[in-house]
Amino acid sequence: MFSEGLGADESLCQDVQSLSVSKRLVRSVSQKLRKKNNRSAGEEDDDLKGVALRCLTLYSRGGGCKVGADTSDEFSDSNGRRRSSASEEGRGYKPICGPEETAVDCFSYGVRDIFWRRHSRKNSEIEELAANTRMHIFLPDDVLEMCLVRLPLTSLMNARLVCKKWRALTTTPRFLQMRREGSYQNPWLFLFGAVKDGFCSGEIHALDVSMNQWHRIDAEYLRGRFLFSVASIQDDIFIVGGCSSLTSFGRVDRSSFKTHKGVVVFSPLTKSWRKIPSMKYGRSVPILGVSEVSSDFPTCQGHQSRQDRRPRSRIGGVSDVYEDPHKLSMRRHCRSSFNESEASSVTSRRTYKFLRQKSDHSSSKGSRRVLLIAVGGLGSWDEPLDSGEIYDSVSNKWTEIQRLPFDFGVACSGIVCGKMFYVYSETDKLAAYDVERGFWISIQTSPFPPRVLEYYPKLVSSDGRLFMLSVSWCEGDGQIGRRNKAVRKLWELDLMYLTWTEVSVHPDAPMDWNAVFVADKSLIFGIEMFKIFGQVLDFFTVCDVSDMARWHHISRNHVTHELDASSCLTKTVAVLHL
Amino acid sequence: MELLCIRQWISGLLPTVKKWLSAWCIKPVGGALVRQEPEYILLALMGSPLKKIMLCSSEKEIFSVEEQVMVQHSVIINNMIEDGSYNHEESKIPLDCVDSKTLKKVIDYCTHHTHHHNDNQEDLEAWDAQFLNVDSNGLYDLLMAANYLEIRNLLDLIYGTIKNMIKGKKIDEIRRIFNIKDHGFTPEEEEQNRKEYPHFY
Repeated sequence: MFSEGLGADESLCQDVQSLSVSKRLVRSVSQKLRKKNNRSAGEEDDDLKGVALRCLTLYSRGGGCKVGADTSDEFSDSNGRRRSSASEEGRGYKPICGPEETAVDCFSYGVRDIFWRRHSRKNSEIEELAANTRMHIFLPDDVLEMCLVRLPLTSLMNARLVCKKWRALTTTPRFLQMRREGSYQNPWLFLFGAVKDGFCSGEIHALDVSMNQWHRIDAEYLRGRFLFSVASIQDDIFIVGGCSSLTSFGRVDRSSFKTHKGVVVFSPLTKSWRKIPSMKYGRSVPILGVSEVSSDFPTCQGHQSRQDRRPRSRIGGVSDVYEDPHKLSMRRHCRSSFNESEASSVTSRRTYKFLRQKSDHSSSKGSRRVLLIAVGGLGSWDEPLDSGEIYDSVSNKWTEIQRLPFDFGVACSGIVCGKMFYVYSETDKLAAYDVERGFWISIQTSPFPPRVLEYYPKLVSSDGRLFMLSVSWCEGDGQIGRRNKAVRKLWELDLMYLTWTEVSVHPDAPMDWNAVFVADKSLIFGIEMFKIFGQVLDFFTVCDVSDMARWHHISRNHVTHELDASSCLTKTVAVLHL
Repeated sequence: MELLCIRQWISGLLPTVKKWLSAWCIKPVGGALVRQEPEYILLALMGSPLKKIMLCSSEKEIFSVEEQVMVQHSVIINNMIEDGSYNHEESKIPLDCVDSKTLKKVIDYCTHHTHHHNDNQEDLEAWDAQFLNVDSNGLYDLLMAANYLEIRNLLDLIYGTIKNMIKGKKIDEIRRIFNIKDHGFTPEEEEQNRKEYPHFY
């Protein structure tokens, strides 16, 4: 029986040791899975969720079957009952769950040889027509441009190789601008931190969401690096910090390692890497926030004043004075002009210098100014840090910002929303850094149901709204009053009244405490990876916050069957609109 | 003459009628225009023949088509009518760049979309697919006509069709379809590309 397969907590715990899932949670999950299997397949939602679970039963019975293979078989008859979501076409993405055979490409942006897709009738007709038509007539350039601009990224890369003229047409800034504005772009997910055979290969797996195709990018730069954080903005991904083993290069070795201060920027469109100046402190898994601002956005360089002298704990390890002698002189310098801050609980008399960054370039069109904030993370001795730094692309340097509020705790998640950088702590505190004015504000919100302890909530921001994914205990099915079922829910914080409201429930049982959630425009993507029955499984889900926020599954189990279980720990994801 | 009298009568009624008719705007089709003249709507309600306009192709053939239909889809024609330069009794709009065959098709498209804009998406798309089942010359002529008359949704449709000729195809096939004899790359560049992206070729 299925539950018996899971019943042996010890063996299961061994398997998921690195994930440290509590026994209670495992039991509740097995109950939920059992119920799912018994429920009839009449409900729409089960078509998608139920399949993966059915596969698991097959696995336990038959022993040793590849989950991925079963998935495609299961789907062949449920395809007829596919739901059609109104939001699909408009966003340019389809939650495709047909029997595709998508394997990973070995060449960057290679186009798959074989793939199927459930077309609408119109698409197939038009494509037939296209196959038969031959354009004998010379197309004027502007018409050609209008056609090329509508291509998805992989076809665009393809078109650039057709002839020099096409390449010239598709690489002008105007063309790229038109492509961006005309909403012909689609989200791409980039999965970092893949560990294969104990080795950090530095591979990046990219998912083209709209075409449901995986691509693999070899990143020499990231070989041997793990536990870094990524943040994406416009066409770039910032890779910050991380560790690498000192003794055995490339292995995920936490016994002897060094922590990086370095930051690299990866641009998938041009497949280029560049380095930007390193941070002041080495950090692994820092909390990142990135935003694009106008070139004359006023940034504040906060300096801690003498009043802000709270008893220093061992965090950081070095006493204030010796840390930065320059600060001492700055304090004397700025004493003449100081300002009362309006911050609520972080009361400190501070002086600040108001810096107006004037862009070097004449027009605002050319350069785009990006601010990258790195806060917290683990330092060189694995100690949790409370310091923060901000990088300004215009001045091209890192500046230290005010430390996290005193009793905030260890930061576990952060996101930029509007002009504030929100950070959540392991002790359930919420603070926001006002980027413009340069100080932290502790935010008191309405309380919400207690969460499962091992699962730290993740903050996401979409469409200027602030969301959080949190796993909490809910009543199990048919068990009124007993909160023994762990459910991951999406909550939204009302930024005006500071109340949390539940938006939707995530359909999957929360098996991955290190699940990553990223947002792109109005879509929130969830990436979960965990090892179960000796296999690493991955689940990608997406929801549209502007339309009911119901979660759909996309691309099951295509990437991670060859990865190690430690990838679940080291994984991190960035999303770009390309 | 008859039409003129009716028009005068309606003008008298207009102030009261306009209020509740103002909600009756013609829905824009494919992002084109909105024509809100209540007179015409009332005319339609009364079952009078709708105003027609004359379009003259390059081959001097005259096509009569409902004003509403063309005005909804074609920015150029809409501007002409609004300018007041078009006199319904006498004028015809000369379209010297569009031949009869193409003009007929364009009118066909506009008429269908005006009358069937309430149909569901799939049916419309199917009709569009059928409509574009022409050879490349025909497609090109349609494209030029739609461009000249500024018919937004027909243009988008044709761009989409050409885009689909490119999407998902291998480079060699694209070159064949679009008759690109000389790709302009040096032999070294071409070889480099083929080596780097064999899947594309």
